[in-house]
Amino acid sequence: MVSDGFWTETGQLVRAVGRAMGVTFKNLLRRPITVRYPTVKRVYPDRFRGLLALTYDPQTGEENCIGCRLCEYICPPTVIKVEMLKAEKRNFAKSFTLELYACEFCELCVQVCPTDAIIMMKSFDLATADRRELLLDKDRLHALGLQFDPSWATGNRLRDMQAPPKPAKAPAHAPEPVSAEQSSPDRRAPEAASAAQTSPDRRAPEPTSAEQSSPDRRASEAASAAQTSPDRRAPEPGEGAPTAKSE
Amino acid sequence: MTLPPLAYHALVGFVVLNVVIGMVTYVTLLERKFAARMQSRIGPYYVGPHGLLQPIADAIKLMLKEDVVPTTADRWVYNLAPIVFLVPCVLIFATLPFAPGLGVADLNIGVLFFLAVSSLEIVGLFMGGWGSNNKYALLSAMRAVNQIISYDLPFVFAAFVPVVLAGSLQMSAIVAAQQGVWLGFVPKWFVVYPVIGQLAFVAFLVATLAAENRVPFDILEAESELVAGFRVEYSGMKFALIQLGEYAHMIGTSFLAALLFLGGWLGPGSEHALVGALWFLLKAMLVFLVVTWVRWSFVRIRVDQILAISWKLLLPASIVLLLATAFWVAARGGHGV
Repeated sequence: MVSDGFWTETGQLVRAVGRAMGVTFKNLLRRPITVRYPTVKRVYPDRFRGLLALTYDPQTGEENCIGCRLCEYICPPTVIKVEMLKAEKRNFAKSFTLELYACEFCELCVQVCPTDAIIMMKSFDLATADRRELLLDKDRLHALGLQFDPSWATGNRLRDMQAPPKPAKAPAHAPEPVSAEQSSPDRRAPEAASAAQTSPDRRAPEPTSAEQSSPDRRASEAASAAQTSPDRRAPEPGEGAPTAKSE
Repeated sequence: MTLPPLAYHALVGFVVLNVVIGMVTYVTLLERKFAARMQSRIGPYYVGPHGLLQPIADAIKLMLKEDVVPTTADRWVYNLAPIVFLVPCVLIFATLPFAPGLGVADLNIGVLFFLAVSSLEIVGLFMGGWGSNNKYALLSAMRAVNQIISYDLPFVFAAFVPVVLAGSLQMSAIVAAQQGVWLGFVPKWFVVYPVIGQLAFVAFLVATLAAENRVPFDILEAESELVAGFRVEYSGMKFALIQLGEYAHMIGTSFLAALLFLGGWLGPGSEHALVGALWFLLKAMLVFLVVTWVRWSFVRIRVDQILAISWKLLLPASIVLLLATAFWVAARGGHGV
């Protein structure tokens, strides 16, 4: 123990003890940070990745899912299985199963969903004693969608955010503030012209209006985006293909 | 009120035993709550209001648990060890006077009895480690023996400083020697005795930590190496007995520290036995909380460091301290205070 001289060592020891005990004493005086979970729930962040759920169109009451199977294709652990039901005006999902017990909550299915049908909820408490309860079918997923708060993230919003940053390609727009919603003017331009001339805010009306006037508008948007925009998500067949197929 | 002495002692012993066991159960809750606050947590909360029934729930759980005995264990030693471990830990309360006249037996060699009996727990501990026939348990028991041998000496030397100051081994006499105040407001407890008192108190606390096998001297139950130490094979009620013994030992030592250094039951209104007992309990819990505070502030230190602290620092320092105290008292004509 003695290498620096007895008193130096002892002095260091005393100071170290004092510092360590001071830290714990300061903690003692702080308020506990525990959130008493089941009774008190903390405010989850907007883009919380929780349970997956399917949505209804709030205006028409129809299911949003068109059975395009994009989420099934992109799912890394392949927990989603979809069957398409062909119909007159649009397609539906005949069956939609999601094995939540194997889901890794990567949110990719939400990101590719062209109709914002599959979203994530701000909740994670689906603890159960029976594994089979976590094999979610279409009805269960729709029920979950009504039961909890949805996360902010939907497919269209997320794709908007992933447009390339503006200053790099459009210095003309430099003076105006750059935000996630405004950062892809040329890709959203045809849509804004055709559908939402009423509102300057493109984000708010979009999820509802996109489904209302759906297939042809989406296709035209995809087509125009493929030509004009360097956005790497736009040319992907995922956006145009299912809607084109339904025409 | 004219009970025969034997019946009287049996009655008082019974009461003290039950009070000690009740105290032990609730001290676990106190420690858990205190530890939780140090880590910005709440601690036990859901059993009863603010977790107040948690110790009882724990006790019931331990009682209902299956009692597993390893097939290769030395059955006699294994089964006897918890009792051998528990008895000395509870026996130390026999000599503690909780208030003037309130105690089982105020021996004239009370401190000596306490120190001698409290280190007997190592026998039960080693029996448990040996009888389990488990390498971790055995390693842990050997470490414990090693540590007790190293730390009992400084423990005793530090505890004897107040004894020398008070000039008596009797616990009530030691408390009586701490009566009065200096400068009108500083109580004459031995912990405020200039220089000697503080050094002896620190040495006593460190030795206490080691004798109780508490962090940072808890190598015998180093979770990362030895799982749970010598009680790794114990379950159910036997495990509960061992835990009970450990906490009883800890509380007993806290009471001893409060008695030797913090003036025992002395305090405002301590003429009444119950108020005095309350003061004593308060001081002992204070010592216990300091021990817990240390526990959550430090990491475990190595075996060689533990031995180095004992043999190279604590033992010589406490011997020198005891000798200095003795000379000081002798120079003052045999009066410590």
